[in-house]
Amino acid sequence: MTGPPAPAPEAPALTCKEVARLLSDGQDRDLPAAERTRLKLHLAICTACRNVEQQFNFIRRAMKRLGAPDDPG
Amino acid sequence: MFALRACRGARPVPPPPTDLAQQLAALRQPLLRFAQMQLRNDALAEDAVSETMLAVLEAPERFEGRSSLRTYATGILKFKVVDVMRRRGREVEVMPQEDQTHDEALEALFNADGHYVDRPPAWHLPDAALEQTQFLAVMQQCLERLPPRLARVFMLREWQEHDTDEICAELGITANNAGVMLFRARMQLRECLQARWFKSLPQ
Repeated sequence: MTGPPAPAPEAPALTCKEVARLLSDGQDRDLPAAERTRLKLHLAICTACRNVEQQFNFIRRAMKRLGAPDDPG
Repeated sequence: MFALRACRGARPVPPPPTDLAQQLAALRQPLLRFAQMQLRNDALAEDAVSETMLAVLEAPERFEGRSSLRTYATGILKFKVVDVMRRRGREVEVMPQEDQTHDEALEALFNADGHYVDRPPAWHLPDAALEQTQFLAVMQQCLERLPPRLARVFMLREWQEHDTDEICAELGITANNAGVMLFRARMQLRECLQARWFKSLPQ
């Protein structure tokens, strides 16, 4: 039985742990294009990591909310 | 307790509404803990919190109509912390290099092959939580549970909104150190918010 083609040997697929670190790094700097691409490919097929991406973005919004002196109420 | 009482003869400030003063008094401990996460110095944290409470009490009309005194006071505290840090001087507080090789809390989240032990679920309508004062209290609890070094770096990045170059210069750490610490902080916060808030909501 044939499986899917193996990933190119010089670019093994990212693990969820590596993706989590990249998602965090992406909050602080622009990721290089190659990393962005590998990240996007992983996110396309991994709901857990998509959830973490959204949750990191949410945490940033929550911190801005804590820091805002004007409460829109 | 309030400086205004002692100074009443010196400055013609009308007394604040009693319930505002009482609510603010109840916030003193949480504000103090928040300031301590940034300043790591009890006397300076006290200064920042006192100045914050005075700012609220001296202009109570600015708070009228807002739904959360806690959020309002925390926002003012942010700027008072900056002021205190500036007055303290530009000494660089060098942090010891963070141990990058071993983080049990982080390791526990992943298998040896880098997959999640428990796959993070989606959170139901998270932005609705931002309007709830109870959620903001939980957020603050989760921040307080961060190890002190992680809290310091995370607060500089996300609360004071310094970029990583500034943080590295301020704390005497490398960019990779900062990156590791911010990663650990974010993962821990994510776990904490899920456990203490989003887990019990309908999915």
